[in-house]
Amino acid sequence: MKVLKQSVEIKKREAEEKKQEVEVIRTTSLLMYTLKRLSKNHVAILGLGLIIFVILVAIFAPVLAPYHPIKYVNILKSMVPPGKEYPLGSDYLGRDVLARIIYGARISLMVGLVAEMVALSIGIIFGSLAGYYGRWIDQLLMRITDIIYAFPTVLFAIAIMAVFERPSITQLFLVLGFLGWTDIARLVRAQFLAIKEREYTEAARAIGAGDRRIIFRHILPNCLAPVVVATTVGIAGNILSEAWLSFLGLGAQPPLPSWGLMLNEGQTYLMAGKYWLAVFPGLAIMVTVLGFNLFGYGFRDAIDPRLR
Amino acid sequence: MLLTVENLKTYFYTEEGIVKAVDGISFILPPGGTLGIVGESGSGKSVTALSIMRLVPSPGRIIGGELLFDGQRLMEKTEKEMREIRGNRISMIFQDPMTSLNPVLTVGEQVVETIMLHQKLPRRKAWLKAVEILELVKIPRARERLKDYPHQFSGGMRQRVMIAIALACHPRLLIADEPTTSLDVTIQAQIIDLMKELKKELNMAIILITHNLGLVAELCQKVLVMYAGDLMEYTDIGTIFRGSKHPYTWGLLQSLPRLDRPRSRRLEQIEGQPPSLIKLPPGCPFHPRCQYVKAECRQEKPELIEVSSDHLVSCWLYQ
Amino acid sequence: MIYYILRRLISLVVVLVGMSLIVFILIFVLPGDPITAIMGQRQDPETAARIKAEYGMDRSLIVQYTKFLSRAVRGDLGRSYRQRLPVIKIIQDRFKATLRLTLAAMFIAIVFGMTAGVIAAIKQYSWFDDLVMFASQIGFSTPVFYLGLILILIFGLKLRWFPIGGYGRGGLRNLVLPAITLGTIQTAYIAQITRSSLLEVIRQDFVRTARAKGLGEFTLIRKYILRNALIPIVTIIGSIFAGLLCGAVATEYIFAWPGLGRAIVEAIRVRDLPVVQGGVFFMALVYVLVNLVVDILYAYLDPRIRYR
Repeated sequence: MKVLKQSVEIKKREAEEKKQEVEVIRTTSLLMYTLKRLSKNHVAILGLGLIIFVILVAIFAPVLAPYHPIKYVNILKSMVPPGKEYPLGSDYLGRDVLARIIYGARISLMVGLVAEMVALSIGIIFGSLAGYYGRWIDQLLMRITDIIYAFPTVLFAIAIMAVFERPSITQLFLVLGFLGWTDIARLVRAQFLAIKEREYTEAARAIGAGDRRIIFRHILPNCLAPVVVATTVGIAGNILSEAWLSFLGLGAQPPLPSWGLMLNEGQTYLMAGKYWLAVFPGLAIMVTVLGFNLFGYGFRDAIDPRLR
Repeated sequence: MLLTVENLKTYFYTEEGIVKAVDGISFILPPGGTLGIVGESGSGKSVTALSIMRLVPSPGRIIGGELLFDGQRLMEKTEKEMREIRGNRISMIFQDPMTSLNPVLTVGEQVVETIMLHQKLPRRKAWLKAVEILELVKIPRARERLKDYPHQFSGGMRQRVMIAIALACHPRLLIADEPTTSLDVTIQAQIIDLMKELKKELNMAIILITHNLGLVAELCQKVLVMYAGDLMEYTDIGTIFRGSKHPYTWGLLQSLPRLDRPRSRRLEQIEGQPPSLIKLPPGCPFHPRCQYVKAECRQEKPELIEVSSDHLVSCWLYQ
Repeated sequence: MIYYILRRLISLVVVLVGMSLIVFILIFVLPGDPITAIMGQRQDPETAARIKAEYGMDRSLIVQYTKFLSRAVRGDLGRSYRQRLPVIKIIQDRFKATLRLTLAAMFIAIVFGMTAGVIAAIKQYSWFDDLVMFASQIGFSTPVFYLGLILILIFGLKLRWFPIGGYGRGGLRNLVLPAITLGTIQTAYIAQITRSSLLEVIRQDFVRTARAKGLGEFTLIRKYILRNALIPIVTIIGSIFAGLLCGAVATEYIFAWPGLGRAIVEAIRVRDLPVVQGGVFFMALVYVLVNLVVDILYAYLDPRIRYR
């Protein structure tokens, strides 16, 4: 009797203690856990802020840009240093550098995002087919992936863009997308392989869930977190790729206000001391890519904090 | 007396506070004796072992107590002197053999390393000794297997390799930290049998650290029960099973699954969770979970009392 | 082990054939007349026909490609349209310059990158560690040609410490700026991988076992920490090397460095197709060969790969 009373007392005390305990994080999946950690990661928030900033600049370009980036041409006012009239200076055709940078955000973001969408689509399909069905499909698809992975990307991008007489942005999307899906394919495949083996897949099957249901409700959500990381970093890479391809004349063509192209134009005039043509577009590239990289790496740290 | 540990205290100075991992543990071990240190995860058993070897990783430090091994004060030794003892006169094996072996060195290399280091033998002789040791731990085709890498061995074999490395220099004391926890049950039995044999052959003292009382019963003469860094009960193996006196020990014994009880009965548990070692409750660390808790338990830590010959308990029930 | 090498070799061949074939096909379907490239605007039908036959342009795609391949494996990559030189000679000369630049950049990257990575790992969480991490992020986000332009601006033009371009007389002064440009960003990668690899290895259980055996610190560092940590580091360094050899194009461009990448891009511009095809083929070959060496090295360093 005494023992029973003491147990009840213990239980009461524990309940009280629990109320004062730190809140237990209820997680439903890797994604929820990651998001919670992410909100505490300052660097990642900074990255996200930069990304949002650039996106807003791109969307509101017509409102923000003082002059039209392409049509406003004023030879009389060419090569004006940064000042009251042109906040960041004007280029050799008298176009406003600031306006071109603002509109350039559209180009970079578009290339970054669309190319990554292409890569994502191919990558997810390849990865899920390979991971889910296994055996020879897996072998075949993985061989193809390995081969694409082994291509020297820089060289290949140059070669392909080179043979088009007038390279354009559309081709860029495709080329970058076709070269960049390998990482995502591998990630997705790894997730599929890992989760396929787990018990809850068997359990789901036991209650009659079909293949499609298992894929969509169980496997894909767990892929989400690492794929987000790969995508963000991929977008950053695409933006850089567009920049140097355009720089070499193999990407966006004049008169588009691509940042890479502006650097090309800027290089010529650098020797003459007209630094603003090159410095500012480059900064724009850096800030944008930095934003995506910080967010991507921050996300990865949130998934696997041991790596810090 | 081979090993005397007196009032050992090892604290970890972390950002969140001081973790009192070991807070006043004492025991003795005669040559060839066997001691089992038992407790839940986080009770401080591993840290005790690491403290004896003076391998406590920072931010941990041994801040008090006396360690006497073979008449020598371990706390006064320099790092260089300790290195001569480690792997040589006191050896330690760890829980997970998969990750405890260097994947880029052959197994032979890792055994020979110890032999060459401590016994100063030339490589050829050391290699021959290595073959002997591997045969001692019953690894078949020892000579060829020496050239293999750890990942080419199975879990049980790898643990044998670990034991071989530990015994290569015939230490007087072997500390085994959960050596069988990550192994299959059948392999567990083999490893324990191996350890029994080796102990007899080499007249080696063993400290077995585990949460499994069954293993302790197989191998050890004396048992030390730890909880939250404190010593709860210390006596010989027979008394633990037939006449233990500490409520925590009773809880541990009750929670053992038994074949002779009806299957329909649920397994007994000790209610509650081990405390956070940073925010230890005042008084006896076990009191929040103890069925027999009294007023004194919540205020002051009980002293270690000898309730009968060779049987020490730290509990207010006996003060 | 043999299978491993074999698979890599097959991959090598496939990549080579794949790349050259794709480039070939694209050039084939390209509008634009190579004859014009050679002869300029004034052409008479006879000479045109003769040139056509000489270069084998009158045959079908398959034949042309097979001829190309069969000659290529014997080391004959055809003749440049523009410069009356065998492509092989052009490649040799220009590749030497690229190699010089790449080696210098790798030297900088390895020395500074590994040092920074080691220190960051030893003093984890210190201000130095955070600095290295942040600096790396900025490094990843900077387009290499932008960095080059900035360096030219500061050190070449304003301070006049170094020449702003060209090969010069092959001395060190001309090498400094381009090497720093190319090497800085790679320093970031190497620092990152060094740091994370070291941290990963130091945490491992076998390091604790080694200490429990009484091994001295030197032996511990040498046989346990370094030998394990170097595996991913060396692999990454190898990949970077392969990538730089192919991808130093932008740097070569800015500094007017007579490297192979720039030669290819220029050849594209003037439609000097043999140089393009030969150059791409050669670079792809170098790329896969270096990667093959890296893979073999990896298998040598990590026995787990060897015995599968």
